[in-house]
Amino acid sequence: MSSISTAQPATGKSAIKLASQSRLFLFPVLIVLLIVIFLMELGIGSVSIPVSGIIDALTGSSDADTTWSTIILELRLPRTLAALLGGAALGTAGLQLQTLFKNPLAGPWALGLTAGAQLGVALVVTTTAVVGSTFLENFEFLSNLSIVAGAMFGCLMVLLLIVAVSKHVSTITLLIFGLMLGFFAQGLISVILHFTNVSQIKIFASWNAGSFAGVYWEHFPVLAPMVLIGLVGGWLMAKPLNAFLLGENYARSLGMSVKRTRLITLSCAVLLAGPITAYCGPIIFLGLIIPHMARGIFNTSDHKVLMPAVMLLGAIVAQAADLFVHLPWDKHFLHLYAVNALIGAPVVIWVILKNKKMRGFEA
Amino acid sequence: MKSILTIKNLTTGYKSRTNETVVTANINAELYRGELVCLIGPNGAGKSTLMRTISGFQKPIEGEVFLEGVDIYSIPQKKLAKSLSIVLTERVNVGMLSAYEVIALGRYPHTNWSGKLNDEDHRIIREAIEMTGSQELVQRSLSELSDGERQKIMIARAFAQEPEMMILDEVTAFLDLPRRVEIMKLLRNMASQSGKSILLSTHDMDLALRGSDRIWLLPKDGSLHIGSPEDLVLNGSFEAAFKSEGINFDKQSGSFSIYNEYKKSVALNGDGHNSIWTERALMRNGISVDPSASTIVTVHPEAEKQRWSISSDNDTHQYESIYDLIRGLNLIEKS
Repeated sequence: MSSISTAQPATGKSAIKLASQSRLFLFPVLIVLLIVIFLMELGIGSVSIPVSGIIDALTGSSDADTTWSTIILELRLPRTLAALLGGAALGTAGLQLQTLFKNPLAGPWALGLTAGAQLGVALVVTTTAVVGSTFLENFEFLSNLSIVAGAMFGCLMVLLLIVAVSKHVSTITLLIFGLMLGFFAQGLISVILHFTNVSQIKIFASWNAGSFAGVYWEHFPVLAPMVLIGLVGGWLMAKPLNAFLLGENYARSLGMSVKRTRLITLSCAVLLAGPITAYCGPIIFLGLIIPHMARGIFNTSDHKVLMPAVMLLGAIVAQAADLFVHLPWDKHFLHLYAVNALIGAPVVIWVILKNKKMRGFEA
Repeated sequence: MKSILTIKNLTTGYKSRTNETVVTANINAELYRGELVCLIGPNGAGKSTLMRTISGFQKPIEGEVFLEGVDIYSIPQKKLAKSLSIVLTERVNVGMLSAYEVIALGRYPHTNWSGKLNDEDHRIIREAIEMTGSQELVQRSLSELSDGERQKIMIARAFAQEPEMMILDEVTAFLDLPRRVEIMKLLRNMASQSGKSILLSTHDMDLALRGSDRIWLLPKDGSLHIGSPEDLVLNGSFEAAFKSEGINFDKQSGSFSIYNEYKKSVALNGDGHNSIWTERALMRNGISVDPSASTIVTVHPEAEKQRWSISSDNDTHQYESIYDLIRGLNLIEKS
């Protein structure tokens, strides 16, 4: 008789197994990967440090080698944490923008948000230079709140412009609009920088190349809280973003406030992309490609899965790119933007080719 | 009977600071529990505007809409979502969500901030799946499904929202006939079994006549005629509503034909299926059937080879198909 009762269909819990649920085991895998790459970031470089040395340095053990400790704590740890935060932030902002604009090619860089931040920073750098401040002579200027404010302001202005335009144009047009805004901002930046002195242009140029290596401990009190608020906000908005996938009309009929969701999500995107750009310079492609990697790996568009996925993947990819840049090369000429472009461009081409609508076969 | 939806003196349209465009004027209607009502009418009569106004998406120029006795425009969006769900014509692109996950989005107004589904939610989702017969579809990605299957999933989603009333706007517009019939059957069952009130706007008059409990007929004059399909046929509302559109409604067959002024008439001899279809062909070509006409079309029994003949004055022609017959009639007219 017992065999009959076990043959009954399962009640209570859903018997349906979804593809997205079957891949949830990948989260622990990603976490392990994150830890491994974190340790590699700390251990690999012009000076190689074994794992035991890293652990000693991090725990402040009395056996710790003082040189190693200095390298790790003063140079590599802030850089690694910046990459970790930056990757998570840009990935999250990218996902938010892609869902909100229903545009698979959206991202902080592609939509011109990064360029807006650059312009904001350039303006701040120039105005402070014009009034004769000398604090720009070294990288300390980055810790200045006005830089962050400038970046956020530039970011926000571009975003408002994009929001206004997005209602009237198609996916590809919006992207081109964003890229053109970027070029325009670059042009403006050149003109603005014309009015500063050579050493400041140098500083701006090195910031403008984009790198996690310019972030030091004193920057974290501003950077970390902003990014963390953005990340938590992103996670909290996972449910309304899922409803947003159905389009505005359906989302509203489900009781979602379209205006509120849009406002909160865009604020989060600015909070994530602005400060990261202010401290690390423009980091291209990451925000665009991380959401696609997350969707591909977890086989879902469910934001409850994608939000933690883009944070983890963003942190992993950004650290990996940063690690690649800082491998002990003979000549230290590798740039983060080169690595990002080499990974990013093929991903974008793949997204375009995969998407029927974007190849132009369907209106 | 308890009414779920009550519409009082409703005037829909668009209001701007300078002028007012009235689309439908002074409408009164009720929708009862477990009732399937089809809203039909010619294009441009204001079906969509009326649907949008009833769904609470758009404010009326005048009048009131009550959902379970409460003014619908005073109900907060979140609360309204628990009493009213919608399905639209538009094809949604949800990326990589499975059909199950799309149906689960129907639970949105019932779940907490995280959107986590409990056993009760899963039970209702399963009920929606069974009700729409989409067991085979739910594990697949929505983007892989055909248009008909997608609409079934969207209907299941609207059902999972556990509303009192469902409003469906032209949901069968892009579907072929078997799929349209399937959706109509499904909605009928849903209304009668679950007690939900369903309002469906459609262009498919034939299905609306056969499938709905009541019809809201919206002609271009902006008034609304309400009744069972049969009542509206018998009192001539149908004929009147579509006459100006160049469509002729035949009370006998309950179907529409392309409206033509009759150019001539013939007498028709014969019976059986051949005769019925011959008459249809004649009417389609603007030829009426009149026993006193001088031209006589004879439909021969099916066994004979030459099945149609025309005799006029002292001439007789034989034809092997209806197509040839019509051509023959047109030639005779010209000579």
